[in-house]
Amino acid sequence: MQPHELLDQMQRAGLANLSFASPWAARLFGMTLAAAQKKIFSLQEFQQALIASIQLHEQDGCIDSDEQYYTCWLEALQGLLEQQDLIKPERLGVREDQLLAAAQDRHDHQRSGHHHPHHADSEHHA
Amino acid sequence: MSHDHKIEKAWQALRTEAIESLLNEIGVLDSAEVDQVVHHYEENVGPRTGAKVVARAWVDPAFRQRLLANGLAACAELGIGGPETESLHVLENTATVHNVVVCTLCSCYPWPILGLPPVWYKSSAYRSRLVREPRKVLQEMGLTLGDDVEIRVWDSISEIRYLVLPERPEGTEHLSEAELAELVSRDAMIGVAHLPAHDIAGT
Repeated sequence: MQPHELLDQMQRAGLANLSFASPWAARLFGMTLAAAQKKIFSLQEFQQALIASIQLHEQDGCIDSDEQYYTCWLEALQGLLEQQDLIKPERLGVREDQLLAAAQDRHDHQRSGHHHPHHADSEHHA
Repeated sequence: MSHDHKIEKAWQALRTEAIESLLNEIGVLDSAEVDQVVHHYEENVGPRTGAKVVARAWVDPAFRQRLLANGLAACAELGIGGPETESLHVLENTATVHNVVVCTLCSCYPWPILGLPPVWYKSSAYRSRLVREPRKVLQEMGLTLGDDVEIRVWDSISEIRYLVLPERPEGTEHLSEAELAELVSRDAMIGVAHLPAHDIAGT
């Protein structure tokens, strides 16, 4: 991030409350705080994991976007959960495939079921 | 318009969803608990929270003393705080001392007081340069400080979080606490901006 970009970013952030940069960033933040509240790990442990992840990332280049920052966050959280044996990498891959397939099904179903997707759906079944 | 019917999703979004789904399944984390945290940070907490603390400190000298002695306890008097912050150190700006906060190793931030940090606070540039050349970085961010002003940089390490208590702007003697809170900016509470003198003609 160049000097003028720091200022640009500052002006863009303005004074309003910031919301999350993306829905997945919000879920990561929420999961981390909720997990700490339930004492699955402490925020200090998470902080250490995040520091390590950021250090690793910064060996390859600077962090200057929320996407890069929350990618570090994701890696930190995943690492902690794997360490505690709550998540297994192979299960994660399988679940990702399942979620993607389910999303694809929903998408295909919507396309075939609604020829006028911009019209309000009047055939909702409760 | 694209005719590609394949779903596209950022890998981070998919990975995050998979983690949440697995944690749900084994009963470690309930999505409702995650919703609660997200909702709290989207709706209830933000820089306006910190601004209330600052305004109270300006109008109530006894509160100000308590705030400087124990930030978290004083914030709790206003119903502000959360388990995310264990220790809050409030730094008082004066005519000759300017405080500014950074987290050089990651991005520690007093979430329950200020909400989510802006993207520049998390950037490599801010984190790596502020300690080394604070005067220059602040100047680049639009804050020029005189040579007679000492700059103190506070690195949010371990469990301590920092909040800068800016100086009350001139010309605000007649304002109410709520009106004062409106003047306080997030950037001033991080220490990268001053609060401008109050423009009476503009109100």
